[in-house]
Amino acid sequence: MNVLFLALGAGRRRAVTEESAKVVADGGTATVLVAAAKQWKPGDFAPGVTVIDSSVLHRDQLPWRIERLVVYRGPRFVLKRALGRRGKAAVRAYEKKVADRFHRRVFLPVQKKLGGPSRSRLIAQHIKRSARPYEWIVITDSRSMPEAAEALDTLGAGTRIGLVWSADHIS
Amino acid sequence: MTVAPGDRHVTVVSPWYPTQMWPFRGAFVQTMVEATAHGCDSMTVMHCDRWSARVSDAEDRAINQAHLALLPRTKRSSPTVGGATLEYLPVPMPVGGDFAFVANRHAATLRAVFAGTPIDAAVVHVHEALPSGWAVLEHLRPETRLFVTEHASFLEQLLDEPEAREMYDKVLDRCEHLFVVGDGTRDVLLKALPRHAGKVSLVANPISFTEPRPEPVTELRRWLFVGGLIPRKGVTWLLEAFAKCHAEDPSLTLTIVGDGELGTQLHERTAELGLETAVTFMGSVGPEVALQLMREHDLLVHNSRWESFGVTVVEAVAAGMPVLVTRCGGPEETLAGIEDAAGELVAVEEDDAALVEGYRRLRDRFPDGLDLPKAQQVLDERYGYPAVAKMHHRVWFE
Repeated sequence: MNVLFLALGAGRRRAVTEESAKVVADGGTATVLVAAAKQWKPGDFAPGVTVIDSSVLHRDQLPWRIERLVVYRGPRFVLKRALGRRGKAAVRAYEKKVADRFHRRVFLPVQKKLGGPSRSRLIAQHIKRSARPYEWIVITDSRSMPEAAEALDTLGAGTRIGLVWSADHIS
Repeated sequence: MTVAPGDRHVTVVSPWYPTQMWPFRGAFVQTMVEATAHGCDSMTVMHCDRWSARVSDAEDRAINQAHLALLPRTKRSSPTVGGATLEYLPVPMPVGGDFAFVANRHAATLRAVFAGTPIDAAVVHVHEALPSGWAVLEHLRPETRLFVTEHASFLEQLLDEPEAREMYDKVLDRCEHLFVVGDGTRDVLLKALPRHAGKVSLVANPISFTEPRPEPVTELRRWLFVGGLIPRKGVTWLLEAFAKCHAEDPSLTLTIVGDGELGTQLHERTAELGLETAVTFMGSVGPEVALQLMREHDLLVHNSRWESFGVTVVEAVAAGMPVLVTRCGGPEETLAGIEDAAGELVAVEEDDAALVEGYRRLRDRFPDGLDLPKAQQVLDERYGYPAVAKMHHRVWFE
């Protein structure tokens, strides 16, 4: 049983961690796709559960890589160098107040206008290209619903992948 | 499937049912299903689970649209207790909607699921008139009998909202009977909607009395709290009371089962009091684990400010443990006539004094004056599965 959990809203965390752990304990494979890994703690997931930060899906996209370099990695490097010990806190504040806002309010809408691949298309691509085909998608929170619906539309009517709201209903 | 007249097919609709996310929430609905499903030809439980998120209006619209598009494509059924079938339906909800808004969201979800076809059941039994009763109204066949069980501890606030009260009134118009789990809930309801007095009566949450405790309680050393870590449960005062009793007897321990908004504060206070080794926080656990913990502890301490029924208290007696419990509405009704046999009832006070005094009284008279087998027998007759199942089957099918 190969299961993909969509947890882009990080809203129902206990359901995600418990259900993915149960899939692995039952001998299956669980992959959890999250919007940003930093929203989760390292010990949240059971051993054997694979967690993918959704930004990884964009790594082949040039605009995305440029944005990462200019808006995130560059300022991070400069702040750490310039502020030394206080750099970490400054990076956190900068990313929360500037970089993440820019990403949500400017980068994503512009990218969408210019026809760049949306996250849902990249999710569909990830599902299609997975070395081991996913048998089930679990939609774990309401913020994941729009992208799940779009990804399924991209995959087309012929997809055999099952869709559930909870891994408890996989059979 | 089409239910023939006379078939005993029941559909239960509830906003609460235990899940991995909230293992405790709706345990009383699950026990009701377990107790009653066997007397039916079939039973379907529709769990309309609120998925809250802090979202903008635009995000909410996109979520709603996607939700309705995804519903027909999802597998939602799985077996549940008593041979019943569970249908799981998330209901996306922005944070902050009023009761009428919430009920309308539930109605929209069921509208998408049923797509104009009526619910295929002779009996529809909903838990909570709002949202569940409101949500099913447009999907009932004329001959389908509708029943409601009201548990809501927030009923007074709900009925204070004019639109929600009007919706509640319409549900009561259509239903044959509404059950409440305590006199307090009935009083609140009839104060707001007195014309429905003839339809309202008491029902018990069913409790299983079949699992024996391996060893009887011999001393009141291992305290247990089971419930949400929220102000209404009085859990901060419980911790303070425990600290005072622990100072008198350092062998005392306290296990806190549940989680909630006061979790961090309680952890910090436990550290301040130097009680880290005596107090154990278990987080939320499933109903089975909670019952097992009751069989492994000596005293349930339940310090609620208000309860409509207080199912944990009856479960504790069923598990063979004495209870130290506040007179918070439900417990004085459920334990009526067996207060001393089951443990000690104390007043609801905004400090720890009543609980400390209550514990001392109970400790000093233990085991004299307690008669747990008698308390179990009385409660089994009132709230055991056979009693509750018989009552439901009588009203549903006779």
